[in-house]
Amino acid sequence: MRADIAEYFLENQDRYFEAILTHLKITGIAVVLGLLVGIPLAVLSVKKEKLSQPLLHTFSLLKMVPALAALMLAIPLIGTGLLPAVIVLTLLTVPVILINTCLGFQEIDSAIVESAHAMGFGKAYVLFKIEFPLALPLILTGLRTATVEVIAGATLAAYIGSGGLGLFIMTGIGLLRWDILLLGGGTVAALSIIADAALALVSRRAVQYR
Amino acid sequence: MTMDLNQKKNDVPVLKFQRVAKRFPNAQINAVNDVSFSVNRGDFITILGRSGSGKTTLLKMVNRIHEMTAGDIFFEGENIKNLNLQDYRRRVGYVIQQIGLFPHMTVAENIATVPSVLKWEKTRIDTRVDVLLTLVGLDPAEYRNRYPGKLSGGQQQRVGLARAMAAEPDLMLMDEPFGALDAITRQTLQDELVKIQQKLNTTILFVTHDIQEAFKLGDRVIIMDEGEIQQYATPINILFEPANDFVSQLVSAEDAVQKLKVLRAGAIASDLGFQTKSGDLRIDKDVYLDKVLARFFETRAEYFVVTGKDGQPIGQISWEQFKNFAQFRKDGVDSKKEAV
Ligand SMILES: Nc1ncnc2c1ncn2[C@@H]1O[C@H](COP(=O)(O)OP(=O)(O)OP(=O)(O)O)[C@@H](O)[C@H]1O
Ligand SMILES: [Mg+2]
Repeated sequence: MRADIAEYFLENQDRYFEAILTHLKITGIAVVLGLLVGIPLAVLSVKKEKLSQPLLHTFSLLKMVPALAALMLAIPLIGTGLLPAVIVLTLLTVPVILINTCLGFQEIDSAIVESAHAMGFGKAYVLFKIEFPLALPLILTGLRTATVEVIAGATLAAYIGSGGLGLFIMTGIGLLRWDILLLGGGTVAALSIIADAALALVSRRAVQYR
Repeated sequence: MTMDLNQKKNDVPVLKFQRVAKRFPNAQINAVNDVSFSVNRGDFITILGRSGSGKTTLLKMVNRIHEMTAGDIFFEGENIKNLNLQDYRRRVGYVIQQIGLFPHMTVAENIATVPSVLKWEKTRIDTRVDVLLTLVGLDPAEYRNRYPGKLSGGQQQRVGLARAMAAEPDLMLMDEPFGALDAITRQTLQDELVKIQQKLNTTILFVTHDIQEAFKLGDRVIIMDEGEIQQYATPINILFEPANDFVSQLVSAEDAVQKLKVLRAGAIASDLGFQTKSGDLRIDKDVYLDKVLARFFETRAEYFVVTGKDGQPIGQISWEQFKNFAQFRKDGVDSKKEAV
């Protein structure tokens, strides 16, 4: 049995590593795009109270759509391949990043921000030197959750032809080969655990001053 | 040219309120109503009033955290509306009860924020941080690199004070800075603030709702109620010539001993009227009257020569005079009580 996995692994090494790379690439791009969309939206919703409720509601709703359903819905709209997978996964990361960033900003002691303004610092200085660093722990929590979610979600992306470790799972299921299935699933699980632990470490570093 | 400028700086009040009012959006009444007063260089002004009387609102209009809705405020003769907001704010220190230190920066970085933005040289900033830490009673070597979260409340407020003074502000705004501290720490910090203020001749506007704190610290006290100034005078004037019923009720709650604790020798000293001798006992003008009383008992002196800043005699207090003064005060309080 063990020999089966090893044999399959040796024969398909190139495909395996390529799948890991693709998986990481999809995850990385989706998470980075998620940050680029989620954080500015969060800042906007914290600074402009009128926007805050609609934005948060919209994304809370979005959060309830299952990843697979979202991916399937994407096919008629944006076709198959890497791009639609990245777009859908990005949309899935935005809510958790947005909500955590909002919380991070809201939890900042208003006396700190008031002091900064009273010391003659401009809005940009206060945002980047005071508010962001103080919101960082929660932003990182959002990032961590989003990353783990996307690593799992990217598995499903194989169904719309974007490649990645989901291919092994699909193949395993298709051929009723549990060794292939296990290789794919196990690797996805391992990636999740490593990413989670690494980001937890970063989070702890970020609040060393406490 | 420079001399003219300095001259001008000394003549013009540091701060002047002219018929200033503030109404918050949707409020029915003004939080601060038609307030006019001015503050001279080196004045330590305390603002005393009940909760909701408009003290914080008044203070926050000075550094434009709140915008006034009527009137004008002048800073060194300039209408603050015409000053560049950020430059102006860097010249006005701000200390609040919640302290508001930046938790992700070390003590030194906190203190250095304004000097850094003002592009001071690094060595100058480092020296300044050490000087200020020493001034507020914290050992630089020990505290420079600590984070605020690892300091006690009293230590944090010392750092808050140092941070506000970092760029040598022309004016300090303080909103109940010691309000959250225990009685002993509070007293220590009050005493140190007085020393610092006298040493640097800083101009301070200090909000409190503690009558003792207001009278102990203030050269002059602004008494606020319902958004208006009820009286603006020296502690002794307020105690003995309250401007209206509100003020007299406020001060009559203070008993005789308490009053001795908030008035200083300088306030009751009379003209010297004779040549001082080497054997004369001297007392500093800033010593509180309860201490003066204690020294009369200790030394059995007939009088003390009251000395000013540089140790020069500026007046005297005789025992006879002191006794009469205490007597007068007692009568004053008693008759007021009957009147109420
Ligand atoms: N941001 C605000 N919006 C609306 N009303 C306000 C605001 N800040 C203060 N007020 C109102 O203005 C009045 C004066 O408040 P202020 O905070 O100046 O009082 P205070 O004298 O500082 O009281 P305390 O001793 O409790 O700090 C109060 O009636 C208060 O409710
Ligand atoms: Mg207040």
